[in-house]
Amino acid sequence: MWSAEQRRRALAERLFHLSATVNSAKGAQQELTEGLSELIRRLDRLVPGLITDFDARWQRIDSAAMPAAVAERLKSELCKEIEDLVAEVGPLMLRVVAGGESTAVPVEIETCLQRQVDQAAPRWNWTSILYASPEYNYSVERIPDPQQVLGHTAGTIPRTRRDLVAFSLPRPERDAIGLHAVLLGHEVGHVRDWFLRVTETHRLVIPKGWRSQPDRLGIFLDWGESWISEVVADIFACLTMGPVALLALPELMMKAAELNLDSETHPSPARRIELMVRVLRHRGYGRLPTLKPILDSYADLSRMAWTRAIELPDELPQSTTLYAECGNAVVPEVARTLQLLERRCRQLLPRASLASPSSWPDVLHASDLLTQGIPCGEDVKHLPVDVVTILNAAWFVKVARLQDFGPTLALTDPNASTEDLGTLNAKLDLLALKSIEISEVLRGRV
Amino acid sequence: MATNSELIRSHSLPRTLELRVATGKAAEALAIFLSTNQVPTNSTESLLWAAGLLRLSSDQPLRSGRSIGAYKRDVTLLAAAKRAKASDQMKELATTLATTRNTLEQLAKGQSVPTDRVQTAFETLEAIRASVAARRSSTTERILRGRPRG
Repeated sequence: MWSAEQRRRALAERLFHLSATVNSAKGAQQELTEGLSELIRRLDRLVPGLITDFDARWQRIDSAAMPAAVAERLKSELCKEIEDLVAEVGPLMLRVVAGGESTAVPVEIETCLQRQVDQAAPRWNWTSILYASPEYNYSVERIPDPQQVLGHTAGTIPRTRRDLVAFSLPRPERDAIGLHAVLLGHEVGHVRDWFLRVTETHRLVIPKGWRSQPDRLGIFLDWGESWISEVVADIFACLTMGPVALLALPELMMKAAELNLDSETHPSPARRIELMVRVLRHRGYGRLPTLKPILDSYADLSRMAWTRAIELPDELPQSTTLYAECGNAVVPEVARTLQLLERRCRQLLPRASLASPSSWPDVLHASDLLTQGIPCGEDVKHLPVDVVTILNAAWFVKVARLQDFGPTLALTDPNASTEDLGTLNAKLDLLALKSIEISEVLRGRV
Repeated sequence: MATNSELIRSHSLPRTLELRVATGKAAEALAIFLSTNQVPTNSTESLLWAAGLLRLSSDQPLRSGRSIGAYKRDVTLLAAAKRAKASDQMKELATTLATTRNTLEQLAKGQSVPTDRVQTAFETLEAIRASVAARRSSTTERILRGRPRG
């Protein structure tokens, strides 16, 4: 019988195994980054904290003089609540722990990721954790604090403690440094958005009559909020990273999604590409002779994307009138506000964080070095070259100058075979990674 | 406007999860009160925590021109209150939430509250708790994505 006592027994088992997994991760702490060590310490406190809290509440129900049926129901609800907590918080934390070992992630970019997070959310004092995920995408998630989960600190959080934010990258692409521009652009863009509250304070126009229907309004708001947050992150990515934000994203998306397919959480790749081309052109990148044809070709690929009706994957309940209505209400509402969002992001972003077309000559110079097989992390004055320049240079070589890089590796015809082409790209990625490492070392000295 | 620390807090813990734990603890305290006529010791913080989370952003929560953040906070609560009240009238739902909040705050302060009001508050909290509970599909079947609410 599935009584409260049986639920408690099953819950005890789950907590025991969670605890054992944490203990096993603790054994490998010498290979862990600072953020990951902190996460494990938090997990280590979570399980005993949950058990103490659970036992106190169970005991309190037991000792109160109340009808047995009421006590049974309260205890069952208590078990269900803790099961939910473990299900909600446990997998995220364990996923980060499992993928966070130093051998699974490009540790060379960890310091520069932390710096970007510090710039994106000054005063928030967040510690970033990089982890490898088997899924083919990038993500950023805030990791709940066990004390908050348990409700012991219902007031404000002491500002002396660092909060944790976890970034995932696709495990198979560990060394694909070019793709990681998505991490530093789009995912850090989400952090900027949280800090600057662009999405949170954005006003959606609610379709007529929907305000009195909380369920329908809930779907529309969830969907609208998610799309707004994604386009805001894309805008920030373009503003802070320049063209590499556009060049890397479609490449990643093509591997994972169809060009015109939307989801409840993300606009289709075509819509996002159209937006990013627009932002880059507004920044003046379209006037650069070396970039104009590239931007033009992406513009052709995504033309009129925001005028299309919603197109959802088969597994979503798009056939229901409600979902179709909500999706088709979100598209024009988000499309209508793109310019406003772009202007708002541009105004809120500190000048120092803006990538500029005036730096493009530096990118071209760095790409010259890369095509010769020379890392580009140090400039002529022996100062560190910033990661934005390095990533843009690496991408520029990939999309426009691979034929110059081929001879460096004694591959005179880079199109000779797909294998050679793969080798070329991988070598270029490693060269960019080395460039970032050099830049970080120099930055440490400076 | 929320203070910086409040924002960090709201960003660090999913709102539905926070609501789930807070309403669970408060509902438990009310159930014990209804049986024993005594507020359990150490439940003041839980009652105030839940009361704080039930606060709508204004007297007219869904009026036009609000931000996504303000709408979403209120819609979650009103959709949950609708489960308890079975009413489509936003004003009535808002009143239900405000009354529940007052009951929790009064109990936390040790003030006397009529039993029927505590009973109503308990039912509202139970409905909110149920409406924000996680709905997990069986992991042995292919999961069709449903929307998390809130």
